[in-house]
Amino acid sequence: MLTTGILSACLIFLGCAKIPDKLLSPTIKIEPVIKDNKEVYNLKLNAGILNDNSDIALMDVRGAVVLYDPASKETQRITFPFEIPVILPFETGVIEIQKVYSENEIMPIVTLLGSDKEKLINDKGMERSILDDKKVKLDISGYKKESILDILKRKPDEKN
Amino acid sequence: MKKIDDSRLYLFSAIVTLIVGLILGAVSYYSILFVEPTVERLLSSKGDIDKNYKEAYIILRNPQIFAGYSNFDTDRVKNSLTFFDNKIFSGEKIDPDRKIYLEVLLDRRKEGSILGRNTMVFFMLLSLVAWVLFFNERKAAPG
Repeated sequence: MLTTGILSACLIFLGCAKIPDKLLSPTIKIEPVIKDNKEVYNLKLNAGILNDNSDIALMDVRGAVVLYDPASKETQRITFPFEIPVILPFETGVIEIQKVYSENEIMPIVTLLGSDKEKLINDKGMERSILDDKKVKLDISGYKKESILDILKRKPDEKN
Repeated sequence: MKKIDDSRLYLFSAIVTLIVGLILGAVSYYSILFVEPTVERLLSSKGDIDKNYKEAYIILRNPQIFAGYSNFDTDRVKNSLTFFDNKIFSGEKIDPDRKIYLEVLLDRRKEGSILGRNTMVFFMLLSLVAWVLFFNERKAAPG
């Protein structure tokens, strides 16, 4: 009876965990590079997601950073999937995505970020912090919640 | 005019406040008498610092009922939690210099226990008042 009560309380407690819903400081860097005698574009996306829970760790967080063009009718432009193994309480999970694109693939992103091919080539790259929440969104598709106490108690045993 | 008998209301209030006070007292004194001395003993140990500090932290990571770790906590508390969570999670050693951060969490727990104890006293006084009113009402009741 007591165990059932405690388990129910734990389930309710775990069910109340806050799930990150926005990206912290999303930044995109695009650089033209020569690869196998072909001009391609290196894209680096960095952002953070904060685990605001005091006692819940988020495990196997899967999702995508989605870039939108609010002015366009075709709203969803491009998605960058990511996976973070663990985000401990009060910690910021770091999203680091690196991809190589052809010119045709990269130009919609460059335009979305307010630049064009000429500027990109002249400046030998571009770097933008995306401050507009309408342009970039976080889409979490899966995660597991686990009590930090359970994780920490298990840790010394894992070492042995 | 017929006098209304409030004794049942006083009795109910006295019992409820007494139960709340006893629960708060039990939780607070469990922390004061058992948990906090255990943590202090672990923190004052001279040997096997890493193991003892980790054990102390795991005890402190389970907060006292009146001292839950929330988003409104100071950076000192939050930073201590993220630091030790990371250290234990990644299996790194905790060196003796970090004792001060564990003491921050211990102080936080002690503040919670004192708040719990004071709240217990408040509820006990409320209960006492309700008992006095109850017996007074019973004495004044006709028959």
